[in-house]
Amino acid sequence: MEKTKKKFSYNNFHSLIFCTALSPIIAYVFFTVKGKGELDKLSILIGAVAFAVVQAFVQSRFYTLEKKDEMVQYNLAKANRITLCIVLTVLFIAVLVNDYLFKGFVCSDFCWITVMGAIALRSFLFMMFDAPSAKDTEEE
Amino acid sequence: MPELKTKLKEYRAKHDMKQGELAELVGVRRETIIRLEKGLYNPSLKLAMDIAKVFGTTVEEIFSFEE
Repeated sequence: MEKTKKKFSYNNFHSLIFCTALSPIIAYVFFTVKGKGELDKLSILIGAVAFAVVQAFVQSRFYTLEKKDEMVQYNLAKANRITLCIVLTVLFIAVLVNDYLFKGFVCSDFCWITVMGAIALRSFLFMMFDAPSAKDTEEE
Repeated sequence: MPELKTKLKEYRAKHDMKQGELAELVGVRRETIIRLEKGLYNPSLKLAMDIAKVFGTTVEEIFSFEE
């Protein structure tokens, strides 16, 4: 008998990516604000990547993703487009700020926060676009 | 911009088919069918043809654009 995989919606997948990408940023902010971090940045990032890899393995092994659904791809394309615009804007503003207003950006911090922020934002936007309203989910 | 009009809901009712069943037959999620029925989403040519095939009719019969 063929074993059928349980469904794991692509929306759920992106909520995981969102959490994974946002966690190191939040941890970093906490440690920075507290002023005596016990973890270095690399450890935080490695932890996030390890978590993502384990999640990806579990999902591919036990769940079926709805990635091929064309509305998923459409919503993802919209999220990608907006994320790209925001990342480019942030980078452009950062260049201007660094050149004319405030010299002293920590480049590595800025880069990884931008990258993880972009990943989190992309997943967040996808969840927003893809979330069906309560009325939509009613069977007709 | 022309607006998508669809008779998908009527055809589904005529064939006594649930949204989930149609979704499974054409390989998409039920949410996609819901949004198609509400005219919130323009289907690809492949999906439109798959849906028409399920109901044994033509794409133009189910989907049309109105100015």
